[in-house]
Amino acid sequence: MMGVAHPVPRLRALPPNTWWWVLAGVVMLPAAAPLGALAYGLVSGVVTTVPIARLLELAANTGALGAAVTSTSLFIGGASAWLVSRTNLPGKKLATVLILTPFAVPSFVGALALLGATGADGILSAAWVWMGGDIIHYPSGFWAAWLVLTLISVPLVHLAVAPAVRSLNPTLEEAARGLGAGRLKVFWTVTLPQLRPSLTAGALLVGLYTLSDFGAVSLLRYDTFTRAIYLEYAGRVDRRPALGLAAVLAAVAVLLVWLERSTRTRGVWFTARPRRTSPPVRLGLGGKILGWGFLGTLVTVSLLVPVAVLIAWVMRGLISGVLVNQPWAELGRSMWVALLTALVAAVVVAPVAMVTARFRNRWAGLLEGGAWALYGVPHIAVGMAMIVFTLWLARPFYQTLMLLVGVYVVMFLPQILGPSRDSLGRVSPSMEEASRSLGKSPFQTFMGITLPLMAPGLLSGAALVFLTTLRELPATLLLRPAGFETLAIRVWSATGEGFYTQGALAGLLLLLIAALPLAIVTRHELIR
Amino acid sequence: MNSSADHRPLAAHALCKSFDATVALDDFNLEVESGSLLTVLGPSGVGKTTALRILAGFEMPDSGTVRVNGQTVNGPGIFVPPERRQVGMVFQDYALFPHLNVARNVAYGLDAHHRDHRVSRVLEMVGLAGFEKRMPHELSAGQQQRVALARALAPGPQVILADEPFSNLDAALRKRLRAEVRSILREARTTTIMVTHDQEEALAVSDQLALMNEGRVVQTGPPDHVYRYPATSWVAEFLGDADFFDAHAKGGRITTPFGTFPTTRSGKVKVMVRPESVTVFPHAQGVAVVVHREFFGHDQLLSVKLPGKITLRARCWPQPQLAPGDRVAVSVDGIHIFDEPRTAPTPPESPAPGAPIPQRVVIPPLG
Repeated sequence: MMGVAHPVPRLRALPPNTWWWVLAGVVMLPAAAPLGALAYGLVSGVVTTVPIARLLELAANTGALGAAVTSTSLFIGGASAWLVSRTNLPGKKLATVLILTPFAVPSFVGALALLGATGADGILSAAWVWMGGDIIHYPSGFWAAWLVLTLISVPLVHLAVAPAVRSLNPTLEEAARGLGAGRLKVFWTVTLPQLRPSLTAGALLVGLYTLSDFGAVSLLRYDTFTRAIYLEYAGRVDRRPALGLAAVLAAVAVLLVWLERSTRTRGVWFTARPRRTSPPVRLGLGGKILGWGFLGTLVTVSLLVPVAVLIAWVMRGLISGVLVNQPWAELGRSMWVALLTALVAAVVVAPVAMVTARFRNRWAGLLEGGAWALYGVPHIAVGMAMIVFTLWLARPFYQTLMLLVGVYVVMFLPQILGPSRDSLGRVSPSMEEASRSLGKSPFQTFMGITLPLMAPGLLSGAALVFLTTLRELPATLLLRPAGFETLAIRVWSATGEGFYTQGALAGLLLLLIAALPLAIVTRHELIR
Repeated sequence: MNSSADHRPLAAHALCKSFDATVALDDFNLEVESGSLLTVLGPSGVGKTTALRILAGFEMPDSGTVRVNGQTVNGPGIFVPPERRQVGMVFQDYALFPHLNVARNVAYGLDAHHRDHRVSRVLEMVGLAGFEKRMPHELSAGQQQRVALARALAPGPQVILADEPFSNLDAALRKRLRAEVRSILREARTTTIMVTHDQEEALAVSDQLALMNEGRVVQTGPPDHVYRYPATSWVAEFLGDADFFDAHAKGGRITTPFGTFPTTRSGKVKVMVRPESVTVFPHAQGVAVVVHREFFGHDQLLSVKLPGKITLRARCWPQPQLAPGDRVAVSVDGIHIFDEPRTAPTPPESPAPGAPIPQRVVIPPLG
């Protein structure tokens, strides 16, 4: 039976909600640092340290790459989504997994695969020469970056479009057919407009991804904003041009994010939930062969060839004895820092999730905005902003592991906030009240009821953060403690110096570890 | 407070609570006797749930006191958090912990000491022995509710609070379950405060009824007493069908088209008549005319129009010979008289019942 109730002063019984607010506010404070620095970069005239011609050149280069990558990946990803979701093509499950896996390939590993396949000692070159051809020259610049980024972006489009294709309302198409429209006309006038919101969302995601990419463009030597920022940072003592470029890049990215979010809500017009799903389009034998030919080529080029090239380089290195400097220490560091980040993110996200899930007011909105503020801001811009910030205002944190982990957490918080809030939404406040009325303190209630029920979301969110941290390159490059080499850094620097053997093993390891959490991640959304 | 009130399982005094501009509780008073089931009844949005949540410790009142078994748990400078109130709660959505099985749900509020014994005893009491290993989602709605009750009962709280406990059940199950819950609570000798907006439910299960309107308790008492002697016309109207008309009392009498009744009041009054106390029979020279007939099978409701713009309803056995337009004679078993204005609040401690007229007054037909 219960003990006797003892009155306690009111102060000690501060409603637990207040504590959540305080915690959430403290936790979100660090997000202000990079935002402040970027805003400063934008308004203070630092931008004017960059010649306007250079700005325009970079904008043109970045825009051209973005447009090219977006349009091609939209076409390929749309086609693959349609084939997998709307036709009777056999082996669709396997195809889906294979189509989505390249998303786990970091762009710098993709660039390594492309460079390692070509050139005088490239794997594909060797095979081609063996078959009597000439060597394939190193690709570089626009077309090389376009190829690598397109292949990695296809899964993004596929993911965005496939659900919409699946839930197409068949009655609309039937109504159009009934009104005398032919197949082609129905596709253009009825089917495609229904897919437009998801296609737009996919396009904006790919655009954002291309805009932010640093790994591929830096290794393949195509001059975009991200590469220019790094070159300015690495080549000069004056940090202002780099900060100015970062601020411009961040502003463009924020604009894209805003566009993406507003189309997500406003681009969807009224659709009655279809009572039944469309019957699959029946492909004949020829259609099936064509479909498999298309998907087979896609998977071969985007997944099988890159992996094969990496394996071949590792084998070559092992056979010739060149591969002496094996990246086990880098592996350990990468795992450790990713694990630490996932852990810190899981702790930090709890109060933010509590507050944003339970309250719908201005302050909750502000907190949520804070959590999302850095979403989509290219990591190199965040990195640059933090360098400037720490050098000016927080010198002791400059190039510390603590700063690196903190920046990771702030950047990747939305990835864990989404799933944890979803699972928190299934905990009704009355469960917590029931626990309180059964004699448990707020802390006991959180540990006994809220946390266990939140755990699945926290776990899959943490896995996502782990995966993202592992493959993060630009912010790591700028903010890491001196000599702190991770797998990603190893791949990037080895590739940049032409040591493909060294890079290949690290790249393969990165792919292997990334494939593990992918299983958990695909259960939730890959991207928010 | 006197000593008997001190040992009430739960007593709330002068509770006030506002949310921004809306007043939820305005001088809310409530006391419950040990071992009885008290139902707080009122329409939606009068502050019933707020009152319950304050009693449980989930909300802080702006002012007023709450005592549990004589201990002040809410008062000036005093707030005892819910976990130290010895107040159990049964939630509208049951709030079973979805990650714990039935036994662990019930054991949640217990110390390790005697836990297993207590769990099986309580589960037996609610008729769920053998369900220990089931998960909440594997139970029917009725079973979930009984687990919620068992969980609240297990730690042996001073009072159990139940917020609309039957509202999530379908009509048939609700009737069966409320009888069952009633007998479980009686067997456990638990003091219970239940909140509902369902009049039938409140009348059927409660020992005591507390009628609530606009943030305060308007009348308390046993259900049949409150039904028969409503303190205000609002209570009369909320708790069953009632027809009202204005009348004038003079010289200790009220004269109506269906007879003269004694009263202690004088001046303008409001007269209330319940349909079940009205009898009508066909009579060619009757004072009243049938204007409407609603047929329910087991009975029917006849609306009759009397002189002086008075309309009464009569609940009676089907009389197929009566149809709108027929003349009838009317006899009324008793009336209630309220002072104007109609919603004059009456302190709950001293309910001032309307003047019940015990004798049957038969109005002779005219002519």
